[in-house]
Amino acid sequence: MKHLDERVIEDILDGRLSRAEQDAWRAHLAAGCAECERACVDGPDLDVLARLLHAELAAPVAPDPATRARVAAAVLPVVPANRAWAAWTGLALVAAAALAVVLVDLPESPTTPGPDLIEKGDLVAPSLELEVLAGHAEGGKIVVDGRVGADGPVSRGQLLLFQVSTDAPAARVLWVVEGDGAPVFLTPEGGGVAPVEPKGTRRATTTAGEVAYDLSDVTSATVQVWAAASKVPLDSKDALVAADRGLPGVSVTSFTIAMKP
Amino acid sequence: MADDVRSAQRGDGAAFRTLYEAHIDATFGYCLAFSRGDRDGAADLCQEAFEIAFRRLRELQEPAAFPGWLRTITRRACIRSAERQRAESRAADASAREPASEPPFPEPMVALVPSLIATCPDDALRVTAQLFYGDPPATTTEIGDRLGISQTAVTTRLGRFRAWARVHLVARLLDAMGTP
Repeated sequence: MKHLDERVIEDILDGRLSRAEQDAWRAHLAAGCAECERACVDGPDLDVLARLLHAELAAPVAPDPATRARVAAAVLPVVPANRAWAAWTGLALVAAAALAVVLVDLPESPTTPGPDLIEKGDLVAPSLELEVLAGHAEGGKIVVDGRVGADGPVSRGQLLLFQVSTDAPAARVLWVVEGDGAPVFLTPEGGGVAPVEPKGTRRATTTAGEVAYDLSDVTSATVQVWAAASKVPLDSKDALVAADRGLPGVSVTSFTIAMKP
Repeated sequence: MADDVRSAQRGDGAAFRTLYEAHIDATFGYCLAFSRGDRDGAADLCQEAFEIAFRRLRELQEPAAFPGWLRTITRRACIRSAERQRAESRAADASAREPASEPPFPEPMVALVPSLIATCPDDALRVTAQLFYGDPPATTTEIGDRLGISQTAVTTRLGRFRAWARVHLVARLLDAMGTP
């Protein structure tokens, strides 16, 4: 076994050692090792190690409510406040008969947060087009059958494809899928394509960037899409706030499809 | 808990909240101990840890490992904050154009010193450390005179004691980290 040095200590503190490696180091150090001591003349500050030891042995402490709320507000994902989000968290959809798929094929936006960006009028309204297609799964891929009209209908068992396009290269696109008027899926924090799903819902990902939505229990489905872009890099939290406030630099479009029983 | 991690990895806001509520107390307790009871400092550390953890959650391969993973992120946040404080302290000392009057072991290391010294198996290091970290502390010259050794030998012994203490603390940390 090699001896303890600055790099090994870093590995320990960074949790990079397996359980077996940790046990081996425990046994090695418990036996005492002059070589390890020679190798540790330099290393992490003793004060820091002592404080870490205190911390590792510390019991949980509940922060006061104001601190708890402040930290929560800073770290938890932002969702638009003007929607009844509480409703969808309790939804539990059953097995899929009809699926909707959102395709978003946009360049990745730089993720530099823009503090107060949305207050500075930097938002530009990108063009936004939403196309709805019907298709079916075949060999793990989606085969498009054709375009769907505004009133559908779409047969159960078919896939619904919502294809979003915009002219702004770094636009953030957010969307909500509703079933019978209740929000079922919404864009996750981060602006990726994986949806927020209520527990019990199935997700069928066919290829990268394509996510299938289970809408088997609904008679109509609506997808509402927001697109926001700015002159400077825009992160998804800013985009959500901008969409939530209905700022003029945000484009919105929606589409409702009747589901054939 | 693993289900909540998986849901959060898919962007479920409610799952993020569940994870936050399940781990905020342990994380705050950890940060409070590290920051020597400074509640505002602990809150800032908590915020930094959760921000990093939630931003990188999709990188977590094994959802059941979330508590240990969050703990590692918290530990790193604490170490970074200590490094920042140290850099600020150095900058302040430099701007004051005065040598830093750094105690041998800053708080809370002081609280650990008696037990550390008592467990040091090397008699020469233990005696030297007892004098140097005693109350009142002795200078290296005084220790040299008392023990009949050179000042250089005293300094060497103190360096060896610190190295031993470093290894000893890492061993205790390993034990503590093994029992989350």
